[in-house]
Amino acid sequence: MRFRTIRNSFMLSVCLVLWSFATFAQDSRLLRVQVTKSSESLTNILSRLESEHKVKFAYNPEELSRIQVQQRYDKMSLSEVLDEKGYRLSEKSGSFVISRKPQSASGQSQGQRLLTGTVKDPQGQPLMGASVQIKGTGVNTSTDDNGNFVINAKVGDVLLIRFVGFEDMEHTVFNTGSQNLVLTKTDETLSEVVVVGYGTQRKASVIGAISTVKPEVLQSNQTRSITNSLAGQVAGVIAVQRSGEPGYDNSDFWIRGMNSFGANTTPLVLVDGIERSLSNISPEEIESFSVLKDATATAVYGVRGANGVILVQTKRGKQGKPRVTVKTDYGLSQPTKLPEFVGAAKYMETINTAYSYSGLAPLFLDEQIHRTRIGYDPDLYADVDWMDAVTTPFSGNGRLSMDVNGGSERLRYSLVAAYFNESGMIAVDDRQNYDSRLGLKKYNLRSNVDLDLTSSTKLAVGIGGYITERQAPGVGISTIFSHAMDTPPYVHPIIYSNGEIPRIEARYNPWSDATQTGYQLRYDSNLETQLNVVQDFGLLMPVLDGLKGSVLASFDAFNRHDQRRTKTPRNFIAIGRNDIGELITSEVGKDGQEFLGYSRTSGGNRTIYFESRLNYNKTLNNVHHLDGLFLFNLRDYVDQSVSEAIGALPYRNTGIAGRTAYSYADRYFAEFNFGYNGSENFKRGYRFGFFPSFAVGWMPSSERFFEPLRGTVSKLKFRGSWGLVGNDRIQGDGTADTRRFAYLSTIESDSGYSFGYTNNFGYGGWREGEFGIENMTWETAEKLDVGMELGLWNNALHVQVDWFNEKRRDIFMRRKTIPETAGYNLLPFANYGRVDNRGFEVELLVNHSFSPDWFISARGNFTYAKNTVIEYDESENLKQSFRARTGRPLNQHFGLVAERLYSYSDFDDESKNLLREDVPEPSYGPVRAGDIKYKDLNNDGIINSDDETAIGKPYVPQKIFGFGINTRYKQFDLGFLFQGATDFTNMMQGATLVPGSGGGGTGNIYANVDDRWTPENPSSNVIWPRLSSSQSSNNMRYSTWWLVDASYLRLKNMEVGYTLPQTARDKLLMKNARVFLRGSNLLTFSYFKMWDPEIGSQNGLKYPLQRIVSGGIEITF
Amino acid sequence: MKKIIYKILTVTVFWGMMSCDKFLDKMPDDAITMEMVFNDRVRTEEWLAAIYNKVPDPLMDYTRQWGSTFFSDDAQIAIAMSQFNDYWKWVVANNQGSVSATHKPPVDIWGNAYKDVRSALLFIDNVKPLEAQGQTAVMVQQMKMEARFLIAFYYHKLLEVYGPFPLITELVGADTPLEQVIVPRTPVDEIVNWLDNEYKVLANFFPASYSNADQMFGRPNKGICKALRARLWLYAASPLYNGNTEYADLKNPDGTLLFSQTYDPSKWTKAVEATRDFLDLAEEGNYDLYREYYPNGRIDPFLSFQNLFLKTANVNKEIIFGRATNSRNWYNGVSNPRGYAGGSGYYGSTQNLVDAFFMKNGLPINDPTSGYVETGFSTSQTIYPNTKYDLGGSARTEGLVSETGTYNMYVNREPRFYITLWHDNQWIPRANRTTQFKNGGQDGGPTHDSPQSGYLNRKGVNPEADPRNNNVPYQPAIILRLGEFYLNYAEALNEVTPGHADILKYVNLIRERAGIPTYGSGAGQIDISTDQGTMREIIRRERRVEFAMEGDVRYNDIRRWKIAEDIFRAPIYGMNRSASNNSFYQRTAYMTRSWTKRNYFWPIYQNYRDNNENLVQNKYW
Repeated sequence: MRFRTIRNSFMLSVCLVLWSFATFAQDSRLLRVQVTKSSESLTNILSRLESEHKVKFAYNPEELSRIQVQQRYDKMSLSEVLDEKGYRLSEKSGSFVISRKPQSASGQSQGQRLLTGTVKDPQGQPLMGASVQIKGTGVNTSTDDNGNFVINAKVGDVLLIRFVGFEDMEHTVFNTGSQNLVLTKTDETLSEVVVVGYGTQRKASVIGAISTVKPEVLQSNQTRSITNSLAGQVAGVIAVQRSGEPGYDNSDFWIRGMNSFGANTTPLVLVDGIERSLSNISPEEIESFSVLKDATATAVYGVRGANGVILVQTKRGKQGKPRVTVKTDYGLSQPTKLPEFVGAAKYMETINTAYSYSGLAPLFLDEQIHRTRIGYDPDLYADVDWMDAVTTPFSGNGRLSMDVNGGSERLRYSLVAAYFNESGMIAVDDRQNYDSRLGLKKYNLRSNVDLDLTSSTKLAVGIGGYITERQAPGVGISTIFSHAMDTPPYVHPIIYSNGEIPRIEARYNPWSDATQTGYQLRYDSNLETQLNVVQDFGLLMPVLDGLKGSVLASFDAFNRHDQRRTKTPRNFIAIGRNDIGELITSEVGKDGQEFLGYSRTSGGNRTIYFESRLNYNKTLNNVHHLDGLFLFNLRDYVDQSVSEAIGALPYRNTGIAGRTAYSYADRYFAEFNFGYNGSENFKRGYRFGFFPSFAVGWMPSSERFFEPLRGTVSKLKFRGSWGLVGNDRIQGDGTADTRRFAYLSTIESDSGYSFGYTNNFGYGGWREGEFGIENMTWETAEKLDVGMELGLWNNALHVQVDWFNEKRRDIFMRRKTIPETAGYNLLPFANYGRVDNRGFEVELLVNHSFSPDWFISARGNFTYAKNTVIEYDESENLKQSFRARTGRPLNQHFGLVAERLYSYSDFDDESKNLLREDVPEPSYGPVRAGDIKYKDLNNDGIINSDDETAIGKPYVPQKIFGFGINTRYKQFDLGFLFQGATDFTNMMQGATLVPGSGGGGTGNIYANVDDRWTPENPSSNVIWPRLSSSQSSNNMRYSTWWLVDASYLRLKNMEVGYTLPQTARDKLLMKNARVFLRGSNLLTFSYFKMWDPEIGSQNGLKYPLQRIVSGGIEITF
Repeated sequence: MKKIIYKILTVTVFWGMMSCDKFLDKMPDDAITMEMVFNDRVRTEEWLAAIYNKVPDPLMDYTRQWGSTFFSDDAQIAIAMSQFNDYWKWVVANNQGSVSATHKPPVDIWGNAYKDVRSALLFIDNVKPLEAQGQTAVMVQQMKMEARFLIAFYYHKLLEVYGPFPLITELVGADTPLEQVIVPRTPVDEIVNWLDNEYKVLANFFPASYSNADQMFGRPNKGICKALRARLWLYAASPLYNGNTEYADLKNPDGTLLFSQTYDPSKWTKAVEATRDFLDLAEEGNYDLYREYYPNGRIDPFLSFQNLFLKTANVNKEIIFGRATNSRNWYNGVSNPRGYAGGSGYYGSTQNLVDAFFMKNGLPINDPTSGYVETGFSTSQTIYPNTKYDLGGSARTEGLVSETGTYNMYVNREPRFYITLWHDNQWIPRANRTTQFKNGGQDGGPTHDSPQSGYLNRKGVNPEADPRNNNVPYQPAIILRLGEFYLNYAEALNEVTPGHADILKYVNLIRERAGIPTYGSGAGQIDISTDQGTMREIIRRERRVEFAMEGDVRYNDIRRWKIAEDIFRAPIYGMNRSASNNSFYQRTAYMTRSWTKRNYFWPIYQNYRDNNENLVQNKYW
């Protein structure tokens, strides 16, 4: 009957969860005994109660099975019955323990006593369900939810305790007190399960290169997107966070770096097996996070897997009483580093200097500079730090999450609800009657329910969704920053003392941009649903033992709405003061509008996915492990935000995938995977590809001959894999626009023409578009991986090393060697480019318990990936030149080699820009002393593009690493992670980068302006070359002069926590309670000092990463 | 119930396992194809229209996009403007001498020409009669020839800007071997002869006028082809192209000389012949100088010269070829005083140009008898007879061009001066005030969005326009006008047969319309020596003022005459922009332009040379 109720209410899983919740909140008083026969054994009655009421009793079955309960006890409460029989029922933290009443203990014969105890893991967490047996007898029991057990044992008995994942333990009973037993973990890799492509595997038998991340690790970073937690946490992931702006702070990340200069280098991300975004998942939703790196792991994804795959599983319910975890924190953030500018007086002096170097009279009069310096009249002689004016020193952010998890044998549920809120550091004007504060709110909800429809049929339903609301000023954040950079400090104050808002014609007031322009809102909503039915055929027909079939269907929907409520304020400029000292102003422009406008746009996308599969998993004779998979899937994705018809057509993929794996006694492993799938982008006949992969492994540590060594080397595994994977995404020239259906030629619409005396005979226009390339097909990645896993001293130290070599072939690219004289409107695409990518990654893990109270774990990882362009379709001409991209890494900087600054002795006549005969002639415009002198690489006496070469390192780090320690001592815990990246460089550039080059009309001057060349101190060992009143095109060439080493090391996260002691928790009915203090990006060490090097900006004008300090509390009931 | 579940499961699994190639086919088939274009009359016409799109607008492309006007000594922009967009960055970099072959021009004239040529060749190959839709074989032939005209026209522009280029006249297929595309530059003479032949064929094909003239305005006709051929030969005969020994070593990798090294006087003869051919057509009543007349029957020089640039081709017979599609909003915005136009009046001109204008009496200012005074301020109004022009003051006095108190430099200048430029303290009719170009003035500096050297362009400015509210009436964009061919003819004739009576005749036609005394020995005429040297200077001076600020004419002239190096040895002068009082009226150097031998042609973009080892760079780049 209960079952029917479940079925009926099934459709509303949220209701279901609430319902289940209520059911399990049992009270022992409600447990009434039912005696069906004249008399029944107590254990029978108890097991019936357990299944009916979804409770669990801890008792000694051997003892209780002998106790008969007569009919007269029917309908009596359990505790009364037990009392009658000389036992008592106690409830401990929500589970029931049946133990003999103390007074009756003396009555026991043969010195046997009811012995109690607890079983815990090294971290002090109770182990539920551990088996406790008296060695040599059949007497046994198991532990309850809190690790408690009761067993009929006497002093001298030996208890044998067993629990999956832990070493068996023999414990001799010396006294009758409570026995506190701590199990040590066995080689966890033998028992752990790893999520792999379309399934799971025992960790021991995994021979692909897969990194897994504990979800806690992803929770320790105080940012919206978990993409920001990957760098330095996951071996093999190269990630950089380029901005800290709320809503736009996702990191760029690549698995094993970039492999292609083609369009698509980002990994395939699958959440619960379905292609989804990683950015807005709440870390609390995640149960497991795997990164699949080599071909063995990714071949099943065939034409989509070339860039690696990230698999995320969301939390599923576990059998047991409901566990409710509530977590909240609140923090303050501030930028890691903003560029600093000089004040107005210094600004004017510098501009005058720049003018004098350019042979011009000073722009600012001494009187003006003096009045500015003394603050004579802030309206007319302003001195504004615009970066300061548009930002706030601190902004707040907070999170709140609730996680409910539990279930019975037949039904398990997980519910995660999370709220995230962050505000940005853009200034607001409190006098406005609307809120233009930059900020983002995110609400996540995910509910996963697993239901056993029959004993062999399982049904899983998952519903997840989020809403984000982003609010921002009417003017874009990057525009505000660029205006703050562009606006000199002296032009006008942020606001006049009379309340009017100043601005110069055709220029901007950055503060007004930030605070006076209304606001814009963006609402995103996302729904992710899936339904999965798994049938275990083995339970139906023994001959099919190990065979399971499943069907998965899902639909996802994403919607976005943008609403703009913006206005343009009226602006004035002061031209002086009148006789009575009032400011005389005149209106600038006439486009001011004092009310908020309204406009909106919207878009979205939806995905439908279907998958059916067969899994086979069997162990024969305890040594032969067989694993098989056969799968079919199809996906249909529609983007509703695009403006052109081609982009609005569904994106489709379909294919099959398979795996066979065999292992012998955990010693020898072999695996074959394949994906056979197709992409709509290619013509029939070039559409479906077969992507095989092979892997072998050997684990000497499981061999018999290894036994003597096992005390030291607890695990040693070698593995190797080879395979092919593909990429079918061809990007167009634009942003996310892809060149779809590459086999079809296109016609582009173009600007037309109007004829007639007054152009009133109008025509649209067409012209040739893309060339259809009939034999266009996917990019192929050939991946080779050799790895080793080593565990020492019972895996107290665990090391994993992987070396990889990937060859990307047939990269989609527009041909580059076709001369423009061919007249192609768009150069044709071809499967042409080739890139090699090589590197290694090391993962190190140390775990040690000094005592049950003191546990320490340290981890570190290092990833190195270096790619080389093998074929870029460059002309032979170019390949011979220094500028050749062939043979260089992707994202390589190119430019001139700066030798030094010109000295006066380089010139015949410095004032006329006449260089000496023997000094190479620069071709970028006239030079003076103090300008940058470049190296004439080809010694032809002229500095031009032939002297440009690869300079510095690529723009994306080649090495990325992280190391951290987590330790717990009694109730206190401490964890920190350092993260760093190196082998990458940034190029400084910008129209007004060099102080003064804005001519005084635009541009700010960086605070380190004095570190410059001057005629008095003509040093080359400075940051800034000769100042000039306009941008010097010689000095602003891309060159080693402006190249900066962007390497950094930062204290990415740090956390201290205090867990309430058990006694206090028990009193508060909490399973766990912890308070913590946390920091992100607390310290940054870098060679480059002007702004945060990770953002990769040319001039520092990007929303910087945030340093966040927060405190919070985490409670589990 | 279990059985049902199993059945459903089994069916779903097998349904799913069905392979479906069809699932991946593109559906629906809605993309337009080449066949669909040329099977449809409207789309066919639209394909052709897209090729027309790159026909330059002289007052937009030649000024802002290409930069030609600002490369000449007519115009000046604030150096600081280089930060605002790629166009001004290109202009300022050129002015400062900091352009290199790696600087891609903001408008890729070179690359665009080849794209348009390909598009035109594809059109010629694919266009076909569609009788059912009313597209007859005759219409197809007309359109094919239009496409052919556009190929010639775009290549002609390339020759002017870059010099010789690889002349590609065949369609390059996707399967054409790369070696056949990596072609060297074609020598100048070969290109000129090819263009000459094209223009001749086209001129024979097109009619002198169309019955549906309005609808066809903007498309080629006989006159346009003849005029272009005339201009082609004038340029080919000029020193830059004709036996220019500076390019003696500009050779293709196979040793082919790109510029013929012997001066060929017969090219001037060709120029005379070709221009005469066009003028014959013009004088059959097809074209005429634009003139407006005062009620007494005399030419009204002010309204003639002002409205020449405002009146459309139906009433303006001086227009030979125009870009029909254009808008003058930007142009009127930047060519009007800032405080009035509401935008940023920064289309500046130079003192160098101001000095080139004649006096009211037709004499240059350096003539001691011209009456030119450079100091002090006028004590009386300047009023011209025979004109309805009344834009000089609030009283709208007929013929009033400048009020008392005007700086004497601007008093008693020729009518074209007042139509071509804005100077300080000049009446702005619609604003009801005078210009304030001085430092701190409503229309003045020191900011970048003001005239940097004390003058703004006024040519082509519509006094009726309201640029502040983007309300600017349609104006023609004149690529070729008859006036140019009068002076072209005089110039060529003076090189072939100095002293020929037609030389003065055509110069005088221009001066007559300009409202200043003509040359000659008659009454009221200015007597001059007609020897070849003097005449050459007279013609050049007349061109300078007649075509001032008119797109690329001046830029092309100083290049083809090879006088740019001399011109830019002197700085660009203006008024003293940093003064807020009358010391503003002080000749002040704004900047010294960088112009070296390399500047006669643009550099070929480095990327284009990277892919074509046969493509030699222009000299000195």
